[in-house]
Amino acid sequence: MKRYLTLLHNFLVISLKRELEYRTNTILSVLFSFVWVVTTYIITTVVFGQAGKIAGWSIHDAILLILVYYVISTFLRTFIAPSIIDFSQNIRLGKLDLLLTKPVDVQFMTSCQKLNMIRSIRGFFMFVVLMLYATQYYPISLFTACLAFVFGILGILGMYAAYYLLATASFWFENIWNLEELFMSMYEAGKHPFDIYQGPLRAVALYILPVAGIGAIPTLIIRHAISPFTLALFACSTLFLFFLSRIFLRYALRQYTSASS
Amino acid sequence: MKDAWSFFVVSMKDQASYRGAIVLYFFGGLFHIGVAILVWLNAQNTQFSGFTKPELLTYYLLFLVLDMVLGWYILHPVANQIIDGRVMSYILRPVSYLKAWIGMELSFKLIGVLIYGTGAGILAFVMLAYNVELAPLHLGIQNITLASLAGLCAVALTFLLNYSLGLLAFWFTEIQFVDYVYFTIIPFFSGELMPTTFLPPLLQTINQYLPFRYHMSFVLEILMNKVSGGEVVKGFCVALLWIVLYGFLTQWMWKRGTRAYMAFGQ
Repeated sequence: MKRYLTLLHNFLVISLKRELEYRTNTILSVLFSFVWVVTTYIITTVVFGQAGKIAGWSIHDAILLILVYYVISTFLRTFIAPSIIDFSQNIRLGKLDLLLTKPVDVQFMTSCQKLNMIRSIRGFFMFVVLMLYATQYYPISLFTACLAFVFGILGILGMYAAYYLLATASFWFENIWNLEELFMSMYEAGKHPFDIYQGPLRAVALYILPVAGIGAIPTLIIRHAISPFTLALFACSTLFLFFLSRIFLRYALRQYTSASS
Repeated sequence: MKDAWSFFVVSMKDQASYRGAIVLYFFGGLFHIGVAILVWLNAQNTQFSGFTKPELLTYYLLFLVLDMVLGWYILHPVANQIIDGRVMSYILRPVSYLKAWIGMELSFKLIGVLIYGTGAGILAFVMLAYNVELAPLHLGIQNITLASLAGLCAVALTFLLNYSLGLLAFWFTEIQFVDYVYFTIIPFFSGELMPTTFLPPLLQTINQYLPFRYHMSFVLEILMNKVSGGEVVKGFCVALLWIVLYGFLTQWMWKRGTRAYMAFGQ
């Protein structure tokens, strides 16, 4: 465990150094990310101004959902997405071989090696706004906050597993340059009022491609609008997806014929 | 245009080799529009600024296909080629980089239109099967011709804007900051997120003089008969003005950029 924490610390330091190397990009990204937050708020008010309620969700519920979504998705985009995109490219270019020879878990190395620290600044800002907004509009007990936090983590785990399963398909497809685009489209589905998904779509969004986990589940917990049974099933499905991603990686590695040798 | 044709042929072969990527691209686009349709299907109101619910759903279906035809999103590929030095092979050879991208992107569009057209057809079929009402399109020679011309303007605008933003990589080794602007502000003003008539009146007025409306919304407005004759003429004038400005900008950036460029590892 200590080895992995040390590695994570080193990855963090290297990523920070890399970002600071491109100072203009870092400063402009931070500035524009605030413009982006304001634009997102305007978009939400315009949409709800036109639509009234959407699937029973008011504008307050939707803003809460969007804040939760951006805090959680920032975590995914900071700590996981950059490495997984590289993972897919490394398979094609043969760079994976080098990682396979290292005495650490392959999934860990291919999931956390590259971090995008700029995005974490925006995430932190959104987290502060979320806290202020949620406590003002919703009565939250410590238990509810803890439960929302735990299910936020589970949501990250579920989306991570789904993303990793998709990236592992690169062992067969070779060049999946649209992986990020597809994942972002899936991701985006999580920021809309969850009740727009009904019937089989709802089951898919909860348990198979758990986009509900990156926004809707913690929001519904804060709103006290979700049953314990659904939460339990969601937790089981995310854990299952995570183990499935590990099993699938092992299977894929057995099929892997290096591209570099 | 011989350069463009050669790159078109090579790019077609390249895409035939990487079919997995194309399939993923298809699902990404379908997913995005499918969710937007679900959002508006579940809206409490049935009348929006200038649109009924069936019209709005038709708008998104049309968008699905037209975005593939009109949106020439080459920002990242251009920037990546400059950052990793692959652009050197164009600088050192008697080939136009701009024409090369026209050829490559055209092949991608051709495949994309077939895929997205099928996708939009399937979505429309599913919606009709579930008794979701769609608005009929009243297409005549006049609005088809005007929409085609507006489409050409839209292609020129998105292509030149993306190309010039990609050329920023000559000066900045990382251009992540451009994403924040490009993928937040432009979809808001171009009609990608929602029709531009949904914007507050002041923003609508400003948007008439910005180039972004002519990336997509203008074509849809013409196709759906949401714009009057005088506004069409004014729209074309603004769009053409921006094309000329973008044209000068890209030429200037290419000249200055290639002078300032230092490729390493080549």
